[in-house]
Amino acid sequence: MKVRVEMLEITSLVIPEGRLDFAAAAHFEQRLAEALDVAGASGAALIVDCAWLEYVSSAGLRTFLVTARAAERAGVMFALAALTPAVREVFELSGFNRMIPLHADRGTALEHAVSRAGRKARLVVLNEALQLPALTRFLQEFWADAALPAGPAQAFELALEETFMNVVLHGAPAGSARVEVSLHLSGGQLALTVEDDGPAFDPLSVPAPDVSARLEDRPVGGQGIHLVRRMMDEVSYRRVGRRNQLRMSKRVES
Amino acid sequence: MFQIHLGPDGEVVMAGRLDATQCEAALEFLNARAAPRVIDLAALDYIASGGLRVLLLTQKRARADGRNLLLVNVRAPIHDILRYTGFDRIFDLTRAGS
Repeated sequence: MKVRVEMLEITSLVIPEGRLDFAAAAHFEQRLAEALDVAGASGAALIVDCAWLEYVSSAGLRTFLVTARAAERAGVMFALAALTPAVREVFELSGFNRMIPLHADRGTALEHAVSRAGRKARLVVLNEALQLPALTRFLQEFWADAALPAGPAQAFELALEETFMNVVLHGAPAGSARVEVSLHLSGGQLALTVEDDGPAFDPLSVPAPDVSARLEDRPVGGQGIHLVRRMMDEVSYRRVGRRNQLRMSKRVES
Repeated sequence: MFQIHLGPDGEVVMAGRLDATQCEAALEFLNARAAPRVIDLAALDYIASGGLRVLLLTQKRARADGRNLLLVNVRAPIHDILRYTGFDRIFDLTRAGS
């Protein structure tokens, strides 16, 4: 049996070809586990396109059950698509069709995955200022792909710049650490998360600047995080293991 | 993409995105000459706190010369940011379309 694995939108797509029998099961289960890891890290769904799957034995069936349980633990949507009548019958007779969603074709499965799990994207860069244009591009491409309204874009570009530059200027020495930026759009709400492995620092603990101060009394810094709080609906900080995690969210579509 | 240059009446014109990677170049341009009286922001698409710092330092320099900086043609998204930080009270400004 041959197994192809692809990334499509937010989905890991596994495409087995041929016979999934006892001899092929261990290898197939391994490929599914790898694809699930990828889906858990950057996507939201794992879909197996069964259009070229000719036969499934009981050992083969078991690999789907193992994967379904692992997907549930990882919070990843798992579904099968385009089963041939013979393979579908095996799923129905065993009752597995009640545990694993079966879709008529790949397109339906993808659509279902996107609408249920939302849209996710993730980018990891070094903590240096010259990475900022790449981050802005990443955000703008996400915006265009999701066809979001232009209005709230500036708030997110600003939040990304302020929080990233905060890490660059006040975190680990430039170029020595990684910053992970992720976006998750779900139910009209967009969440931006910025994580770094620098020393523990809660930017929300910095007191808000006095916005009524006279020019002479104004410090030239310290505006950034205040602006972010002002422009986002919610901002929260957590220390997760050895990482700082700043999460910002705002409604972007009704 | 960010651009800064002198307009026909000696005003400073800023255009594009004044993000953190462009602030040094903007300051270099501004500090190479006397503090301007007017900065035209009609074509400025984006500013964050790094860019506000550039404006603030320029205003402080203008005040030291006994003058006041005027920001002209400030568009709504940029004006929001000036307002949220109280910078609208530090600068004399006119809004785009007024």
